[in-house]
Amino acid sequence: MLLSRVAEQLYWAARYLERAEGTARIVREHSDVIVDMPLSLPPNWDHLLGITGSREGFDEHYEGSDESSIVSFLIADPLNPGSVYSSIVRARDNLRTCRDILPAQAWNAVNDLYLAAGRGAADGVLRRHRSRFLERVIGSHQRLLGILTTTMSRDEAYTMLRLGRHIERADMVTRVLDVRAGWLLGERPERAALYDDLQWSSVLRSLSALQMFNRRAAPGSASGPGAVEVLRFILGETTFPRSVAYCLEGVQSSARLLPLSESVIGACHVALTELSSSDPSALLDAGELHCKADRLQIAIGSISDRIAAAYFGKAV
Amino acid sequence: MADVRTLPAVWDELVDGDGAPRPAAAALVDRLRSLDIEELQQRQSLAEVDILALGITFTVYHDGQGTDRAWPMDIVPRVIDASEWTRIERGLKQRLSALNRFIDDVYHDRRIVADGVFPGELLEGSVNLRRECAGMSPKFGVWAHICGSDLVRDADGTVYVLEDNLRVPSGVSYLLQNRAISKRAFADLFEKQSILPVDDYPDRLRRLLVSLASDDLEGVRYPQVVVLTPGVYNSAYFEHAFLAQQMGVPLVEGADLFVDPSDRVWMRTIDGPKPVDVVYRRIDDSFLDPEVFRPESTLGVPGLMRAWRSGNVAIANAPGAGVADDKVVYAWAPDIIRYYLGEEPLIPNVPTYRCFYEDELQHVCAHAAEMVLKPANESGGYGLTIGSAASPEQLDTAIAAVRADPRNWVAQPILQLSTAPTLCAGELAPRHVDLRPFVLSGRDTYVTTGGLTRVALVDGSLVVNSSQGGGSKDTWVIEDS
Repeated sequence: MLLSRVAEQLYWAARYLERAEGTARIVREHSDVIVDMPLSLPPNWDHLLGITGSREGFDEHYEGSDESSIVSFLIADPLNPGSVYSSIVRARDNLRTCRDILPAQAWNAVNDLYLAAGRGAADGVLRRHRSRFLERVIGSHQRLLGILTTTMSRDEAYTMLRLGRHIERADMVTRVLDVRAGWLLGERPERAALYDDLQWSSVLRSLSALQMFNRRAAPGSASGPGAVEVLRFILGETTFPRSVAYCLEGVQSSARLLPLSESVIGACHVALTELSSSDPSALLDAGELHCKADRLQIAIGSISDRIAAAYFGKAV
Repeated sequence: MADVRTLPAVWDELVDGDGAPRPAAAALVDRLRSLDIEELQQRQSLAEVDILALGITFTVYHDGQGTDRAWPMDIVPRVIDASEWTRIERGLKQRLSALNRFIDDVYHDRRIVADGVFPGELLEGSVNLRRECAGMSPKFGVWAHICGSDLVRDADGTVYVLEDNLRVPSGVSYLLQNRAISKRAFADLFEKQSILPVDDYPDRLRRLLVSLASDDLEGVRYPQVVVLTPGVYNSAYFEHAFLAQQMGVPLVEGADLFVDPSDRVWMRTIDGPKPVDVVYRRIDDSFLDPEVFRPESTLGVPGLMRAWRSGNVAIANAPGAGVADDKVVYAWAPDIIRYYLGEEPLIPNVPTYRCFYEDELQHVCAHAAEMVLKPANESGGYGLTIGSAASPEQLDTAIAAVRADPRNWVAQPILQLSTAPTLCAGELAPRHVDLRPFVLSGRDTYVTTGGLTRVALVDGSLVVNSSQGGGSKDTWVIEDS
């Protein structure tokens, strides 16, 4: 038995938390790879605004697009509803109203995450404190997931959390591909291409995918990670928990555990079909890749809409 | 070394007038005296870290803004001897049994009025009387299923009932959490003596609530119990969530429930509507059902009263139970006990002047500076005037308010509330305390072991409410070893 209101709170809490972790991973990786680029190449901090879909919100509140403004907006700014800080606050607000069904320890972990975010976010803007802060956010969220995985019954509440987490992650991965891979495949200053290996590795790293990619996709390869392999892995590698395919299958298998889920399962099927409809080699063009990412995001959005219609509706 | 300071002519819960430990507190006082104040402060800081990490909070409202605060708890416990506790427990059971009969009588024949024991006009003026409840007969004849009675101890050691909270009493979650914290702070003392456990409350509450479900369900399905909260902005939301979690029942808001045309209550789930049989409501009567009470309330459930009157759902506490939670009715509690049970009250009331009677009103007005003036229907310490602490202007204003509406005022002499040593500003200072035990009434009656000890953290203050700067302590009921 799960109340519709609680289902909605759980679903969105999981999305907010996954968003906080995802944003933390992306900012951490970006801060890292920037240091390795020659000073003559512009650092592209605004990629981060593209990935998180927050360019408009940013322009409203800031002038110019320097590193500290962008990082501050993405991790610490309460005016940005998608910032790491705001996401954690919103997740906690949601979970506060679900305390009766979360394992007690899980609420402690949420609180811990919240306290860490409140104390560290402003400092996290400074490069020297940044990675420590972001690690702490990622680590606290993973601790929470560990608690849920090991102590929570696989009931409808757990399934709602899992749905939210996978939807958000799938969405985030398509955005990273769209912006970062799109940039690598598009027109750039010639000398930037010298650093392509580094950049493709960085794309993988921002999804925490590099190590698994290397083990799976390139053990015998004499060259660095190629675009096709990277796209194939991130989009379609069903054994890797941060690939789009894995996440969408996760959504589908979760939905099968819920009542009244035909429309949700149908929407998952549409998204999975879209995912497998084109070979990665056909996406080696910024325009093609962008269209693909767009279609995937629409399909993911439609799954989320079906979930809302099936479970959160106020009507009886 | 941390020594225990006391006030002259005030009863201290841990030590007597010569500074010797009271028998039940001997082990604790010895331990306190063996520790440096720094060590105690360190244990206090650790406890505060635990409280933050556990998210034990309450919400304070100021200028329309709600702020979450960490629950204030002093690690030095208050100790009660088990044999004294047994007497108090019996007294509370007696009291609740009589009060429940009183409520039932009020909504039926009003024998107590007919017999001239209780003035009927007081009922007519009561803001907590619900005419909609007339003629209802809740299971076991019980209306106030969950009660929090406030006890205080005067300078000579006598324990009095100060008030009964029969509407939506709160605090029991903090009682349980305080124990969890104090077990860590004084782990060694728990090994050495028999401190009676408090943890069975949620289970007792669940069993009570289940027992209230209609008998028609027997053999059909398990009764569905829910906790109904006004929502996350309520000051006691932490407790609502805590109790729901501990009992393993859903925590619902008004909008999660609805009543169908055949007067049955349902909750909205992801699998469609599911029936609800027992509502433990933490919402005041007047917000419970906009069809019957405040029409603008969005916290309640339209039709809930219909469902209750049809016998399709049990509500705890029953609507209308608050009629006995009134500082005016309180003044008659000893008579109520004698009338229904034919027994003398085991725990006395604080002597209470009833402004309803002209002579008592005159006495109150003449001696207001030595009294506490209490409005009949406020809780949380709001609206009361402590004569000795009020300025002449404040006192005049208060007396004018009493004269304007005497039925709604009572007055009591200012008690010398007992103290307990409390860690304040680098010493163990005497601070005034009270005690709120919780009583569960159904087929039988259960009293928590001890209760929530509330402490006025400000030097000399008598106000223990957490909404007004009060703190709390764990309460140890200790059995002779």
